[in-house]
Amino acid sequence: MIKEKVSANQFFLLLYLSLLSTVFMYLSSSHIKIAQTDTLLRPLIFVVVSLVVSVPTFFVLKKHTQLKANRQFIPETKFLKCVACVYAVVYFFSILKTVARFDLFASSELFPNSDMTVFLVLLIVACAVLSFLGLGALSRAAGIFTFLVCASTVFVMLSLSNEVDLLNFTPVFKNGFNNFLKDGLIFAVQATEIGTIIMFLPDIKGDTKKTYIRWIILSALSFSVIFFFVIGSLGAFADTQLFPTYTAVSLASFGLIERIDALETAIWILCIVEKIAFYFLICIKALRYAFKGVSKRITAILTIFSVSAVITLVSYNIENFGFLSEDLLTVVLFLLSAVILPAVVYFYIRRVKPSDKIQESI
Amino acid sequence: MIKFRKVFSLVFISLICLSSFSSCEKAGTELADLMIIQGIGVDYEKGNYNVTVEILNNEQSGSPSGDSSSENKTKIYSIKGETVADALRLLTTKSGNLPLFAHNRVIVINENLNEQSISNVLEFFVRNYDSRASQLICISKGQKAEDIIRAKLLNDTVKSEILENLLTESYQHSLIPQVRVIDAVNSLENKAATLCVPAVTIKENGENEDFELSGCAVFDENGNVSKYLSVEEAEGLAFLNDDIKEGFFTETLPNGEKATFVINKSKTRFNVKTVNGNLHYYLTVNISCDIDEIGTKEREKSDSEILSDLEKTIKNAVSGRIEATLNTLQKADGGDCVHYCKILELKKPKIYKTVDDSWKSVFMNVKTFVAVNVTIRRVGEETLKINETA
Amino acid sequence: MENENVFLYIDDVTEESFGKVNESAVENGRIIKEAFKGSFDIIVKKGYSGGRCIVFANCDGLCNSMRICDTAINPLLRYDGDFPQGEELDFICSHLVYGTEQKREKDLTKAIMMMLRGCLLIFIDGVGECIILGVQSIPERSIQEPDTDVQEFGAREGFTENMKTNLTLVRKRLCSAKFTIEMQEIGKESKTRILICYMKGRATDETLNEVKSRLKSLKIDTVLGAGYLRKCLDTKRKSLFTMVGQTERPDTFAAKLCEGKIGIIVDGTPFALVVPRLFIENFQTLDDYINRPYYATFMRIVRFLAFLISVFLPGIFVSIGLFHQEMIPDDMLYNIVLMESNTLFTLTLEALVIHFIYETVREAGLRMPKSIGHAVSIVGALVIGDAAVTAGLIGAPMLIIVALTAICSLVSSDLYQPIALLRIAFILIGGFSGLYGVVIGGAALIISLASMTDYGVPFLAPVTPLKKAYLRDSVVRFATKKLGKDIFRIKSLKINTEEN
Repeated sequence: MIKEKVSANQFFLLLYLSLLSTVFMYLSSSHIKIAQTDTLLRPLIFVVVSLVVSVPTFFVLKKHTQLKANRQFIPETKFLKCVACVYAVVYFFSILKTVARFDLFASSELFPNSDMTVFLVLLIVACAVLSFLGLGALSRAAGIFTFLVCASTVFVMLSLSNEVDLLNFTPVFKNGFNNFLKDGLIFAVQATEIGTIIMFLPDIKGDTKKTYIRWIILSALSFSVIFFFVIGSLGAFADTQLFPTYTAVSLASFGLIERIDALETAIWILCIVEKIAFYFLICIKALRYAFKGVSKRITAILTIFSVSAVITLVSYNIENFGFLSEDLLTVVLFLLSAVILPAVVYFYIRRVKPSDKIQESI
Repeated sequence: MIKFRKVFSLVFISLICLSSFSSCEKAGTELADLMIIQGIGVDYEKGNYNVTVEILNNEQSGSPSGDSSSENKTKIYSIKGETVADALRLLTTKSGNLPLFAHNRVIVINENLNEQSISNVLEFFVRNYDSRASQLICISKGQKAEDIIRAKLLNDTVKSEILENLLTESYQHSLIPQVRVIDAVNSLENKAATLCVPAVTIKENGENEDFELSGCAVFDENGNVSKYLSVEEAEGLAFLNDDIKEGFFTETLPNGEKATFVINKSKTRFNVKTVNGNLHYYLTVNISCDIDEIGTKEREKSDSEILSDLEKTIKNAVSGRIEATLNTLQKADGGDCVHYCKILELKKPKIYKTVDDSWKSVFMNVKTFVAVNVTIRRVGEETLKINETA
Repeated sequence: MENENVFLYIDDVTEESFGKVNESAVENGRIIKEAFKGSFDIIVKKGYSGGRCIVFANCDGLCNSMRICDTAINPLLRYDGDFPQGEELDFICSHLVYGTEQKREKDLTKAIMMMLRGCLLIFIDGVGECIILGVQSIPERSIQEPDTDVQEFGAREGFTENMKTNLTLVRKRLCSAKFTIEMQEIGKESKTRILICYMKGRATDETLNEVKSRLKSLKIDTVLGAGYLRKCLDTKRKSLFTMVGQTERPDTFAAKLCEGKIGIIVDGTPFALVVPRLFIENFQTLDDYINRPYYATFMRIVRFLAFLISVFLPGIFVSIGLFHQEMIPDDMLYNIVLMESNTLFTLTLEALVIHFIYETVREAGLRMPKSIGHAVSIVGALVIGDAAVTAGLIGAPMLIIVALTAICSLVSSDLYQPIALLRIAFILIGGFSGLYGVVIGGAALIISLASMTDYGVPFLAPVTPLKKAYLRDSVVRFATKKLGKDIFRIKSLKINTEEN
């Protein structure tokens, strides 16, 4: 079997898009204010948190490089299969979170008068089918999507620059440093993407560590720039809006076209499609690792069915979104995928004697 | 598996085709079924909102290639409802089409909302997806909002478009501030700030009517109009808010002639200091002007002396306008429309925290020191010095 | 997967074999006559020379009769002496028969095959071998300017149906010992000869072997066009796009070979195949390298935008008209609403109807006899242009959109087929789920294009995966001096793979 490798740059572009989708659908909540200068500094905490939590991943990376040099692989054991199962569950919830948020976004902003169920199910099916095309296809497409998303975002931000009013900003740490830290941590734990790196280590070529650091810094910078325009143009209005980034974009106009928000959000959807398809890929890959012999299609159909069923239930009532947006759930998912599981894998593979057997994932 | 794939593809395609062909309401709205709203007027009478809308008349008996007939370009409907949203939704039953708020140009609100806050009126426009956050707001002064929307203008035009142009152009010429839904919400969200909205009236012009700007309406903390600023005071507000785009003003020169200046650039900078427990605001206004007209009386002074006179005139004019505005706003029923609270928050956050709750009374005692720096950039094609009258 | 083939397979048909060449010339003549019973174009002529019976066999029409008489029949039949015993064929070939193309063959089946390719067979009594003489004169079209693949400043020569002529046209442009040709026969009945052309050292062995093995694995009855080979050369058969290029121009063909690609010339068709083909090549023409780089870049951008317009514009228009009216400027919306309010169909159906009419008129224009071509154009223009609008069948804005789309879709003619299908798909998606659906569809399209890799080369290279040096000749085109820095070689675009 010939296994296609993706470059570290392409892989991290995929993760970059995935992270951007979080900012585009950044949800206003009652306990975290957006319209304040602190929001611009929250990505700093994201950088710090990302670097700290990635220590176990770096250890696994180091071990992996050593093994690769000796052409050795980690044998498939029951323990690793259990880890794969947990990964599948974590990313199943991540898909649910993403789809639920997109559901809320679409039904509030995109098609407020329509029933979104069919649209969402079609989106889920489309993403699952796209995940079949593999990491290579998703990462290569990420290159084009990143160009489109960045170009359109820069364009919108430039057209918003007239709207930016410095009076809309607030003094730094207006609500106190502790609150800033808390809000920043809640922002940082949205990045469940960090946990995916360990799963695709065998498929990435190039300097993963360096590219990872570049990715974190670039993402943090992008968040700050986007938030700068959102806060600068909306001010306190941002806190009255469910999706402030979207509202800011709806202020942008280009020549005769007074509302380019539909166009811009359409381009954002590229990020969402990539993210959901990528998470599907992880789920299917982890499940297939855990249950050898189960066909790819069966795994995919089960995942599609479960996600669609849960989303249909969640979509019914606005209160149901609360559970998936819970900070606790986000923290648990983040810690599991980015810290605990990589640490467990590292301590396990340190003890296990490597063999020449081929390692599929983890 | 191949069979499954075929069945799956068939279901997928049928679903798309069914939804596309069935022309159900859910799959978008046909263009012909749209009611393109251009302007909305909101009055509150006897416990009900009376909403008047101006819509584009797309039911003209035009040809398929778009040649329109001689029917009116717009239609006007008035409808009552318990809330603004209620009235606007009821409109569908009256016109038979679905309202499209995205192209609404202006919201006219009656000055007398009978204790109903402007926040209640704007709530629908903030919450609704279709509605733009950048649509303009104005107040109907001395008239009902319905009268403004139904004004008898000279030609068959879209009245809301003319009103929008009036508001935009006046803003561009720094005569009056421009207030959009987003600006209004921002002012209302900030307890210390006060909302100030352009006021419009109707002026008789023979058999027809014209729109006229009559300054700005200042709102109190309950969201009701508390007082008005005159057009001159509104000009001062533009300097205070550093919101001068371009504009002109006419003043009397020391020789008694009238002169008109065109503003190319203006920048207002603020500084805040606490002196003996009182807040002192130091404003520095830097203006660059061109001379548009300065009269033809003989001037024997040197060029620099003439320029110095002109600059002095402009200085006095600008500081006069600013002081007049501040005087009006700092009276008992005035309010902070000039973002003094926001400036204090950014420059002296600690002091702001102490005066945050009692800002209205603090604002009334704030002292402002205005310094105006004038640069005359161009004098036009004629020289400044004139020895003989024409 | 083979079962999905539409072609007739002859695995179960026993191939006819004629055995070896008989020592009796008359017997050989009889076998040939019987094999082609009733075919008047197979001529078997008997004569005597050197005291032996000689049989000539040829296929009339495929060879030059005068040449046969001059080079073979006359010299042989007029010869009065004897043939040296045991060296008859050597003697005849060196002393009597003229011609550069001479071959001796013991297998009668192969000999007959050569006869069917226009050669003359000479059987000598008492010799179990025959002489094959190249006297072909296969009727062929003269070299003309290609109808497809039109260039403004390129050569006016196009491939013809004759393989040899085509090869000559390529050889003329590649006077290099590296230019290598390998011949294969494909088609159990048609025995179509194909030439696998490549530049030694530039084309990788892996790609070459892959092409050869794929062609060898093709089981097909007849090959009547180059496209017949696509199904085995292309691994992504379900995709709307193909990684097998097709050209009618020898200059383009030669240029592709120089890039390290493999070319396939098929006998009997003026179209040659080139593998692998990249997506970006659909927007490149030979003129780009002749024009100034600024203009070439501009034209490439125009072509790319035309592609995007032709695929997405009708879908976007439908979705904006149905879901995102807020995007249309006020005055334009008013006019569009006025025009659309008098039409019969919904916007989606309107778009589909007008596209159906357009495709029908196009197909009719392509297939009908040329003599009535003008009639279809007039009817098409009248029906689509005026009557449909006046009758309220469609709105004028939709007509403008379709007209623009139709023109744009012809800019990259190679992409016409996927464009036509994708357009319909995007109209349906746009009508169902608005701009967001169109974007999801677009994302799916891009991801599926990104997933296409053949011969180890990704379809979307060098854009993704990014090969910076080659971007100089992708959507933009730099000056030739800069292009010369990193000469395009397809092998450097191969992606890393790891064998498990």
